[in-house]
Amino acid sequence: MRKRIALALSVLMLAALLAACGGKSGTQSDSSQTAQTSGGQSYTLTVWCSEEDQAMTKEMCNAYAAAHPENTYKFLYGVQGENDAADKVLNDPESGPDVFAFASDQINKLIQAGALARVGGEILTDLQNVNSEGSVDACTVTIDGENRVYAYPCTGDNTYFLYYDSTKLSADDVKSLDKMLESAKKQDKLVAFRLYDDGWYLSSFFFADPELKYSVTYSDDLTEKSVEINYDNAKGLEVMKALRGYFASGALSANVDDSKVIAGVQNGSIIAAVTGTWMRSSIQNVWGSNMAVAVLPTATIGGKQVQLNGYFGYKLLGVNGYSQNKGEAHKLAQWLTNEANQTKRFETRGLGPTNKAVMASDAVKNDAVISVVLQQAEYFRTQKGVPGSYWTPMASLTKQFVESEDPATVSDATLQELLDALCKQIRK
Amino acid sequence: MPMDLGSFFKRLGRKCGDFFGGFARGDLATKGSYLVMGFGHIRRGQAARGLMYLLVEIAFIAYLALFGGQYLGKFFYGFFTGGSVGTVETHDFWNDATGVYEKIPGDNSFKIILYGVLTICIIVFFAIIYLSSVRESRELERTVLAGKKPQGFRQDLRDLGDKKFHLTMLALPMLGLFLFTVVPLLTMILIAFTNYDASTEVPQHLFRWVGFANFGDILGGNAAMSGTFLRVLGWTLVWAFFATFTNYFGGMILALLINQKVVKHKKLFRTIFVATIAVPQFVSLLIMSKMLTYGDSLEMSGIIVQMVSRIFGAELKFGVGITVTRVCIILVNMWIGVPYSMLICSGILMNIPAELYESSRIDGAGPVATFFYITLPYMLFVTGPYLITQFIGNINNFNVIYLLSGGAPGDLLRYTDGAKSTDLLITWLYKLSLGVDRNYKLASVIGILVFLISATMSLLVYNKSSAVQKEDEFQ
Repeated sequence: MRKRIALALSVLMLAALLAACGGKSGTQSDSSQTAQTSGGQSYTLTVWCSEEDQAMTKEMCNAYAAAHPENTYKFLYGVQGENDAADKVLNDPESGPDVFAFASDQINKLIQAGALARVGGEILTDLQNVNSEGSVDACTVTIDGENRVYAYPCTGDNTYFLYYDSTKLSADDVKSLDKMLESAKKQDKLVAFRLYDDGWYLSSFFFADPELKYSVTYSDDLTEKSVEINYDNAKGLEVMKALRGYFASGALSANVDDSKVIAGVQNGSIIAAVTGTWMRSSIQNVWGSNMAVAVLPTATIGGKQVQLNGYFGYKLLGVNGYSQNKGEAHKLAQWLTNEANQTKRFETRGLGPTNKAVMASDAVKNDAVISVVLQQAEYFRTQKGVPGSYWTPMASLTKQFVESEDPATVSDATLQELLDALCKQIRK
Repeated sequence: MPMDLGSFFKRLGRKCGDFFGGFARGDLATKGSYLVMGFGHIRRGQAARGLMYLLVEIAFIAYLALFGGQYLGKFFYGFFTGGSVGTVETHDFWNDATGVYEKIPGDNSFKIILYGVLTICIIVFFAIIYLSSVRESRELERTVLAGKKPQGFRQDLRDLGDKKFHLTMLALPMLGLFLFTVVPLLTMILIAFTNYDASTEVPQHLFRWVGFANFGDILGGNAAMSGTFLRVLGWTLVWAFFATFTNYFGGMILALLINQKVVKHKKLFRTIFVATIAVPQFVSLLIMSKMLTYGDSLEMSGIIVQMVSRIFGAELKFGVGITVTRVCIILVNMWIGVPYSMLICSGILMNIPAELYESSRIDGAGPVATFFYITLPYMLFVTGPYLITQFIGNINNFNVIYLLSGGAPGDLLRYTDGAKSTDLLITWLYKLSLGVDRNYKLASVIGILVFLISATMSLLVYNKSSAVQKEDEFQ
């Protein structure tokens, strides 16, 4: 008897091991069309998008199925934020989603891993005709000396701008960072600008000087062959000195993330914040009609007032290179990013369009936030071709300012040392 | 007992002699079973057993021919030529009929390594089965010559439920262990000798064998990287030391206090402390990390930072200052870990014979002397091995670091390759393999180094520990 039990236990153990391997979670099924029309094909397509986009995407997919009554579709949805969609897809591209949303800066590594299907034929011509130049550019890479398009532009608002409380700051105050900080200081309030622990926002200071830049040379398969960056020159040092001054102003809140910004806005300690469209409703809930938006202010760098200039990114839809139903997946991606659905996206969630017709519509032009975003799109740098090694060192570039009791005491020599270390880590 | 090298070779020689000599001396049936497994068994009345051996041989050959062989070939081809693992790259081509770019799949380097390892393991298994079948066949010849009847298949089966029950019992777990632990482990170790990272991501690209280049980089070849490695290793060891001993002594002192005769409601106190264990560790860690958040205004900071500021007027720059973050992490870890060690210590403390304490009291020893001469040695003796496992566990304590600080703060001047100042080797490894670079090769090297460090330290400390040295004395 005891032997049998022991044997049963050992079988159980193996069964448990096997069970642990199986099972796929995270996707929910939503069968949209049940009636099988004769002669049609049956497709199962998996779509990944962010939590907030789920309901909207389901409606769009169902509309796609309704528009193609000859076929039967079964859609599976996965919840995956665009910011780290690439990482999740790359974990196993072969069993990944058919269509997925991702931030435009991830396009290179997705292509490198073969996780994006190239767009071609009529769909490509249509894509290039209807979308803004910048957004098409974000989907295009040069391989073997040829421009190739690998994704569909979905939204164009992945950037940062200024929200402010119009009862505390005037439209004139927010034109210059110096004035804004001065005014906030007088009121004993803070201006939130995530210049610590995040290279994305911090880059806006370096981009203010068009001569400060990085460049990446890619090999034919998009591997970074060499990376050059010149932040460690005299102009870079001026930027660091300017940053030191702003950190020392006492009115800049640089050690913030989204949750701290919301906390600060709610309790009134923050009266202006540099962040993106995703914070729109949270901030509007508190400030209501007093919420105003503006382009990034100017800052004093090297004794001159210069315009801060940031990253402009897009949200793209990609078709998995390993999809079993590539033809349909391409059509679905095209559908999800067409004029009607970009309008819908703008209306339901206030997301910026990339479709030229939608961009030119009155509704978009009259939207305070999106119009500021599109205004900045004119001169911001498209977030593309950023060295992979850029973000981590940039995130800790300003640590000394946050750590020291008085940022003004950080010496010029230390600043230079930091810039040298930064560039050394980024260069290749 | 470890065999010394001489006797090992003697045994090997004898086995070889048996193998080849057996072939030369054996009759046709025995000779045949060297080529066709189970031939001898079938000829000598063990048909079922023989057929099973034959089946194993057929299955093995079929596996090699249909599946394993190609992977093995590709595995070794690159291995000996120092080239890529697999040779055919994946291509895209435009299909006019379907109107999409299709993929022509090429070789998948990772699968080649994985299945290569699997095939090598299967070959080893097969060799063991083959050798035992040949040996049995020789024994069978002797049995028959001696005029005895070979054991029947029924009896074989009965043995599996009785005399050889351990084999039946262990077969399945061993299979599981082999498939889910040994093969993946060997594969991961081999990754350390390739250039597998984001730029050679499979299945789109092929990666290649690079020998010990990755080890060379991290152990001095690449000054920045090896400097980072040493710094992370240093903090890992410091952390493991403090995390282990603060918890251990904290728990012991707490247990001693509760064990005092003057303390009433002992069970209540123990329950209160143990109740903290009921909350999942990651929940309490995440809450702690929220409470320790340092923001630019008090309102944006966590409750602990606010309290420290209000009471002491000092800023607790958790996640910004390196030393302060490290100290906080160790303190939070105490808060989480002390109840566990209190639980363990309480049990052991109650087991220390009361006579020891009585006689020491008669001899006039105070509480301090009693602690150092009776309690502590006794505890160390019993918990020595536990301490070692704790220390190793803390070297790999992913949860506490990752959930509390995530490695922050970063330090541009001292750390490179994505490491931050409170990263342990294990959290660094995680960032390397899942971060931007997907640097699997470096992650694998670090994994191997962590294993080497842990194994060496455990062996050294364990052999020096009182549990081993005074095994006979202390009872």
